[in-house]
Amino acid sequence: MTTRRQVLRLGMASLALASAPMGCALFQQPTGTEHLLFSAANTPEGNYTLVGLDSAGQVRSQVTVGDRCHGGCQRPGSRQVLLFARRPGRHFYVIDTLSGQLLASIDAEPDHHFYGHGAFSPDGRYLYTTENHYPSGQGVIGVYDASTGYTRVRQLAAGGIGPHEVRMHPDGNTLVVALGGIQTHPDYQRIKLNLETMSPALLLIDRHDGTVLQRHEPSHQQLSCRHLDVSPDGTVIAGYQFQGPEWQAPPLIARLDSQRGDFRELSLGDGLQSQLRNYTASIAVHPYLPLSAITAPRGGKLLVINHRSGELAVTYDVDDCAGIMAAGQRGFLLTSGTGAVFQLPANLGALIPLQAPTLRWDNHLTAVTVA
Amino acid sequence: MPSLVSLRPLRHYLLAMALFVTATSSQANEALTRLHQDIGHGYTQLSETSNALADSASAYCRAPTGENQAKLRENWREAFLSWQRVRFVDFGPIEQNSLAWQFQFWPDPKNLVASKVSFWLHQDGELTVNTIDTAGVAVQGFPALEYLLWEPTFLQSDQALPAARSCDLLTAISQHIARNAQTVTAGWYDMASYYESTDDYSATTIKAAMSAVEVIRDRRLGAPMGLRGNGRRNAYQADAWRSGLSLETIRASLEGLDTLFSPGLGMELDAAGASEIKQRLAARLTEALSNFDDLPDGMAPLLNGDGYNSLQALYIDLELLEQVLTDDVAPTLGVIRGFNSSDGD
Repeated sequence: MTTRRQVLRLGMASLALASAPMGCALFQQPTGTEHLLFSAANTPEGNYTLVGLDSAGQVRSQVTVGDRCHGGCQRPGSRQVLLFARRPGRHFYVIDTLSGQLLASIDAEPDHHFYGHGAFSPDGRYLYTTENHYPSGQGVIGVYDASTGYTRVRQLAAGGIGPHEVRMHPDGNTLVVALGGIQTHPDYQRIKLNLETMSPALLLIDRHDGTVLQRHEPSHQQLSCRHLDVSPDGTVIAGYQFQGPEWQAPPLIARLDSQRGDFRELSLGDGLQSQLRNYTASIAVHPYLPLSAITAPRGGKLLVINHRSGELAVTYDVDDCAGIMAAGQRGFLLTSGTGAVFQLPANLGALIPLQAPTLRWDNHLTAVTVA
Repeated sequence: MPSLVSLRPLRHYLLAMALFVTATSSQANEALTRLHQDIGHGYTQLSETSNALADSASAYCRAPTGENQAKLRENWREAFLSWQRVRFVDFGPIEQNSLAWQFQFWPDPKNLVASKVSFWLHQDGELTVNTIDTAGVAVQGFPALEYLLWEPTFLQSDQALPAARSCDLLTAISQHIARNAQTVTAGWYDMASYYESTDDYSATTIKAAMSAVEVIRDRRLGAPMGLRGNGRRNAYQADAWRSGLSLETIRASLEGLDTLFSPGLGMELDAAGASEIKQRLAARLTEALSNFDDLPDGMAPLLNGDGYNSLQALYIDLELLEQVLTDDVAPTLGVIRGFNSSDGD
């Protein structure tokens, strides 16, 4: 429900934003690239599907799969996009972005399951996935060689329990890992087994030898660090999900300047903080603008922050919004579980609804750029 | 100026607007106050019956007479049914430390309850409530006690109650349950003012009840009836099959909705000018509960005999109950169940 106060607050936020130095940064994007969106979704009949949309919302590809999927990543220098089965996932799927064909379904190692995210080396050869070795409960990073049909060549320690989203740092050598800290086991479905002892962190891990280069811990032991994105200058924005009492409202967004090792949490003020209901779903850092978007479906909020200054730019009310990705000069694309697809324009004006099929859009959007 | 986007269907939006026009905040708060009070009574009951269970476990192990054994089983049943009544509440202190799973680890397709109980019976060393506090959800709740009290293979073994090790496990688990029941009850009363002053809890509580009815229909009844999955009827997919109380637990859960949820919800519907929907819901609950007048406590005898049609009748009544909540109550009060907000990762 829109209130007068919200309108006024948002009006102030957009005024403040008008003075932000974003105009010139907008135009560094390479020309001639097309942005596609890939996402897991549920059909109205309850089937699991993987959908590719263009940035106008038109369906480019759609395949039906056997399990609910979560995040994904594009393989650099190829036509392949990968989507991962949701925790405790047993597969990831390889799709040809042009033909829309399912090229392969790769199984998890015995005694391992995926957490739903992965990232590639810059040359597109090695894939790094977050996994649970569930007999021990320890998180690992699985390393797969895409040049040999995604054979699993080795694994790295993930620095603890529950690694979730992983992204490649712009230096090309470092994995940025959101360590959720929550122990689960397939025998116990999705029950959180260690809420009293969980130890979440935001990690930088050397992808060659597994050394933990930086470890930053949230301000509360039950703030599960779950999702993140990285800017080309190495600024990491991470989103938490709080596992403690719902009558508390700790910070949910962290900012790491990975060059300087400067880690901070963003304060949103009591009112907005508690409206997020202790839960964030997805993070998208824009590569050319100083803007990052964060979805909070339990609170029905989309937040945009200036990730250089760490200040809130604007909020939007969108029921059940979750999937978000940067889309070049078009700003961001946003999806919701109620079936909506929006463009969030780079000038942070009104959300623009796109004509896309009405599906239950799942947690994440995977950005695919096609030259 | 960014626009504010609401994706509610227009009809729901208008109805929600109407609610805000007609419902004063004091009426809404009265409804939340009532809900808090009623659910609090449910937790208090759970706490008291769990204490009685723990006392009864100790008494039986001190004097393992037939009479004390019967009393122990009866106290287990009362505490377990108290849990069923308040089981629909899936927010608040029950969410802390997976307490709901600690009370009842279910479903249990791998029979982990049996293997974990067996594991602890065959361990050496101290076995107290503190051991159970960190022993994992499969051995921390009512199903583990149910195994000790009713599992036929166990009752015929030389470890059957009142064997010393089994008695240690029995008393430790029942004390753990009692401790958890006190924790959740105290936590519920601690959050009274927060609950009553946070309007979102109206929708949260309604969504909890909607989920509970769906779980009863689809998983607690539909799955053992063979209406899901491979289509085979299977009594072991129901809860409390060891004690033969699968249907009695469903009855208790519906009674919980009738007594701990429905009165507060009714106040909200009255405030929204929707008293007719309140009456429709009450009628559906009454009809669903009336099925149990002619049903046994357990489900197994009905799955493969003439009684199957009485399970079908119950299923249909649960379906109708779910429809009133989804099609009438939720849109009237502007309640939307999200996909990502209710089951994200």
